[in-house]
Amino acid sequence: MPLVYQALLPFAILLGAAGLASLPDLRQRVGAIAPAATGLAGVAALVVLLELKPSERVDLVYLRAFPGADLAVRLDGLSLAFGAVLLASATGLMLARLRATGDRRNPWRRWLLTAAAALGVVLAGNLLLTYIALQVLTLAWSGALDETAPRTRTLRLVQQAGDLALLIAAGSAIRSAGTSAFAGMPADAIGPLVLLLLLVPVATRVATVVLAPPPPRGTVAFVPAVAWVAPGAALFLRVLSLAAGRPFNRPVQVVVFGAALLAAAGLSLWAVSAHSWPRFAAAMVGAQAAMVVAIGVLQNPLATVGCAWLALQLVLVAGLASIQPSEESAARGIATLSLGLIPPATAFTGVWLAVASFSGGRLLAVGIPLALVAGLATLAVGRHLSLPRLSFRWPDDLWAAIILVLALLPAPFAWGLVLPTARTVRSIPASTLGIDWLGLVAGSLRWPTLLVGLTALAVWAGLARLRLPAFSGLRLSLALPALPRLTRPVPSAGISWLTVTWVAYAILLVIMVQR
Amino acid sequence: MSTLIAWGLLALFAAGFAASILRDRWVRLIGMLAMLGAATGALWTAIGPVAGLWVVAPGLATAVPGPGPARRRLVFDPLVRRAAVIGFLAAAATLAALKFPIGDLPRPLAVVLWNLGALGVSWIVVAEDARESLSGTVLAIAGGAALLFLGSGPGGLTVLMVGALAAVPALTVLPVPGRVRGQESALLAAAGLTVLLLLWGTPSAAGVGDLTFSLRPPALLAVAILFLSAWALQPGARGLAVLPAALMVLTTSPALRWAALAATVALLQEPEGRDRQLAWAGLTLLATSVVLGDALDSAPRLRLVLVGLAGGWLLLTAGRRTSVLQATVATLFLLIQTSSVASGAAERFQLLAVATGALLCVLLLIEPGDRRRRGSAGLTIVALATLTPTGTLATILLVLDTILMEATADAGGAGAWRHLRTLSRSGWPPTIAFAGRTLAVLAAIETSTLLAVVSLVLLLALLVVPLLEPQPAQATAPAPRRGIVMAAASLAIGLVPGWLGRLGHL
Repeated sequence: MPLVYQALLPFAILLGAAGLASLPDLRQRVGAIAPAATGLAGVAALVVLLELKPSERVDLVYLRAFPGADLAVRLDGLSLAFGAVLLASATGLMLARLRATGDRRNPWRRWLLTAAAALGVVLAGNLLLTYIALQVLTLAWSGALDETAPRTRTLRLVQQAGDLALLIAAGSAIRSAGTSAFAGMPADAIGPLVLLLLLVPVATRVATVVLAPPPPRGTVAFVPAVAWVAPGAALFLRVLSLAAGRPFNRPVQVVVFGAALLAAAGLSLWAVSAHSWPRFAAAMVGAQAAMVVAIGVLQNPLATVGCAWLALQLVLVAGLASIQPSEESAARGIATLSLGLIPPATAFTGVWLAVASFSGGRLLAVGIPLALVAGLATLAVGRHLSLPRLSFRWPDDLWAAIILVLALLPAPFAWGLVLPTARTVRSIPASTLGIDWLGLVAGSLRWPTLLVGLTALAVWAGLARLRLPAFSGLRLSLALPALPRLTRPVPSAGISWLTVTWVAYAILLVIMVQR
Repeated sequence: MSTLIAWGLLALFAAGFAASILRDRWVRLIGMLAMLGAATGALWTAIGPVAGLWVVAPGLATAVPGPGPARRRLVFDPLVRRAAVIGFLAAAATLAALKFPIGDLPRPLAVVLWNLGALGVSWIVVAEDARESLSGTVLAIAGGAALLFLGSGPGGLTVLMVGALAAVPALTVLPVPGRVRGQESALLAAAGLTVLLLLWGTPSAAGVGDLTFSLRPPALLAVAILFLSAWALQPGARGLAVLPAALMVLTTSPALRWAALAATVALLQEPEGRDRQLAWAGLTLLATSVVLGDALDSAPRLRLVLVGLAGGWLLLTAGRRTSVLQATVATLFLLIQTSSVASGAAERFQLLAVATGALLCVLLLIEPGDRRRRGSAGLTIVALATLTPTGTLATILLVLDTILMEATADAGGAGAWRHLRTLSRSGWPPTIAFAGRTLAVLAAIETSTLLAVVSLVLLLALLVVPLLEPQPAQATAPAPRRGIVMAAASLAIGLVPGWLGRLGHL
C-alpha cells in the first residue's frame, strides 16, 4: 500500500470504529470492536515506523485547507513511536474497561474519537495543525460541544488557554520562515522565548494530570494517559526537535532544569502524603513528566535518548496506573514500583542515561539533584507499596508484566521506539549508546538492566514483606482550585466605567488626529 | 454677482431653516424645500448643472408625504435639549465650513451645504415626530453626499443615484408587508448567482454612463455574503437594505458609496433607541472626516480619515441592539476603504485598531449583552488592520460567524440537529468561528506585536465568554431548514477556509 494511504490507515480504522459505535444495533457489541480496532491502528502505525529508514522523515500533504496550515502528516521516528505507544495504551485501557464492573456508561465512541484526535496531535505536520488537533482533542475527551457545560470546565479552559502558546509559535514561525511546517523550518525560526512559551501546553497537561479529580473506584480513566500524557510528551520532544535538540542557552537551560526538578520533587513529596493510591499515581506521573522536561533540556545526545525513553515509557506507565489495578494484585505492585525513579522502574533507565552523559563537576551538578528527587520518589513508592498476592488478572497483570520486561530487557523497546524518537530530535552518533539483550552501554559505563532489575525486585519484595512503617509525617493539601461562579450574570459595572472607557477612547482618537 | 447669489442662497437657506424648525405643517414643508433649493444652488456653483439631478429624489421624498401633523407643544426639558442639539450642530457645521474651505466654493455656500447635513442629523437625534425624523434622514444623506461631491466632478448618473439613495429611507413609510413574497427565493438566487459569477469569472469592472462598478472577486464575494445574510437573517421589509448595501460594495465612487451605506443604515434602524443615534454618529464621523480631510494637507488628512474610519466603524457596530446586517455592511465598508490604505498609513491604522479592539474587550468584560459579538468585532478590526490576505479572510469568516450566530439563535430541534447546532455555535474546530479567530490571531502575530497582544487577549476573553453569558433555555420547536443549512455551512467553511480565500482571490 502506498505510504500516502498507509499513513491514513490508523485514522480510518479508529474513525470507522467510532462510526460503528454510533450505530444503535452495534452499540452493545462495540466493546469488542473498539480495542481490536485500536490495536490494529497501533500495529498499522508500527508497521510504517518499521518501514522507515533510520532518521528518515516523510511529510505527506493532503489538503491545503487552512492558510499556513496544510492538512499534512509527518511520519518520522518521533510521531510513529508515540503513535504506536499511545494506541497500545489505549488498547490496554479499552481491554481493562471490558473487565471493569463499576461503570455502566458506553464510552466507546468517545474513547475512539479521543484516540484518533490524540494520534492527530502526534502525527500533525506543522505547528498550526498541532494547535488545531489539540483543540479537537480537548473537544473529544471532554465531549463538551456546549462550551458552558460545567463538567470538566476548568480543565478544558486551562488547556485551551495554554494551547494558545502553540498558536503564538505558529505565527512566529510563519512570520520568520514563511511556514509553520516541521519540514524545512530552520532551527532558528522560533526564538528561545517562544520555545519557552511552548512548554506551557506541556505544563498545563501535566498540571491537569495531577489536579484532575481521581476517577471513581473500580472505573478506568482513559483520558489521562491517552489525551494528556502522550500528546504532552510528544509535543515536548517535538519542541526539542524544532531546535535540533538545543533549544535554550545556558542560563535558560539551568532555570528550566531547576524548575522541572523542583516540580518533580514537590510532586514526589505530595505523593508521599497522598491519601489514596490514585492520588499517589497521579502525582508520580506528574513527577516523571517533570523529569522528562528536566532531562530533555540537558541538550546532549545521551540525555536526549534518556528523555525519549522516559517519555515513551511514561505513556505506558500512566496507562497502567489509569486502570486502577486492584489492591494487592501484582499489577498494583509493579505499577507502584514503575511510578518510582529507581530500579526496577523503567524510568530509571532514562535517568541513568542522562547521568551517564556527564562526568566530573557536571556529573555532580546534574546527578545530585536527580538523586535527591529519586530519593523522594522512592519514599513515596515505599509508602504506597503493598505485597501482591499470586494471582493473574487479565489484562492488568499482562500490562504490568510488559512494563517490567521493558525495564529488565530494554533492547527491543530501545531499538524499536526510543532510538528512532531520539534520532528525530537530534543526531545521535552511533557510538553514543550500545544496546544488548542484558543491558545498556554508554561510553565506558555498562548498565546491566536484567541483573540490577531482578535484584531490585527482590529487595522491594523483601521490604514489602517486612511491612515497613508507612511515611505519614508529611501531609500536603493540594486541590484543584475551582473557578469563581462565572455562570452567574456579572452585575453591571455601572455607567461610570462605561463613560470612562468611551471618554478615554475619544481622547485617544483626538490625540491620534493631532499627532 | 456670484457673491450676491451666494449670500442670497444663504439667506434663502436661513429662512427655510428657521421656518422648518419653528413652524409646522405647510410652512415647515416649504421651509424644507427652500433649504433643498438653496443647497441645489450651492451645489450647482461647485459641480455645475448636474446638481439639478441631485435634488429630484430628496425633493420628492420631502414633498410627497405632505405637511405632516401639527407640532406638539414641548415641555421645558425636551425643548431645551432640542434647541441645544440643533444650535450646537448648526454652530459646529458653520465653524467647519468657515474654517476648512473646500476648493473654490464660496464660504456662504459651504455654510449652506454643511448646515443641510447638520440639520438632518440633529432632526434624527431630537426628532419631534416621525415625519421630522424621516425628513432628517433624507436631508442628512443628501447633505453628506453633497459635501462629498465637492472634491470630485461627478457625472449626471452618479448625482442622480446619490439623490435617489437619499430618498430611500422614505420607502420605510410605505405599507410594505413584514415579509415580501418571494423575497427569500430571490435573495438565495441572487447569492447563488453571485457565487456562480465568482466561479466563472467576470470582467474586473463594468460601467453604465459615468457609473462604474468593480466586479473583482473580493467585491463579488462581499455581495454574496450580503445576500446570504439577508436570506439567513430574514429581516423582512428591512431586507431591502441589502440593495443599497450591494451598491455600496460594487461602486467606485466615494460619494455614492457613503450615500449607499447611509441609506442601508437608515433602512435598518429601529424607529426608537440609542443605537440609532450611535449609528448616525458613526456615519457623521465617517463623512466629516473625509470632507474635512479634503481641506487639509496630506498628512493630517490621512490621520483624520483613519480616525474617522475606525471611530465610525465602532459606532456603527458597537450598539447593544445593532442589527447584524448593519454590522456586516459597516465591516465590508471598512474592508473596502482600507484596501487602498497606503503602506505608510498602515501603522497608524493598526494603532487605531489596537485601541478599538481594547475598547471592545473592556466593553465585553464590563457590560452585559452580546459579549461574543463584541469579542468577534474586536478580532475583526484587528484582523482587518493587518492589511494582509490572511487578515482579510479572517474578517470574512468572523462576519460570517456573526451572521450564523444570529441565524441560529432561536432555532430549536432535537437529536443530531441539536448537536450540529450546538457545535456550529461553539468556538471548537471545525467551526467558522474557530477558523476566523485563529486566522485573525495569526495575521496579527505576523503583522505587529501590539496587534498580537490585543488579539490574544480578545481570544482569551472569547474563551471565557460562554461562562459569562446566561444560557437561554433550550428551544424545543422543530429545527428550521435555514438554521440547518447555516450550521452545516459553518462547519464546511470552517473545515476548509482556504477555499473561501481562493474563491474570493484574497
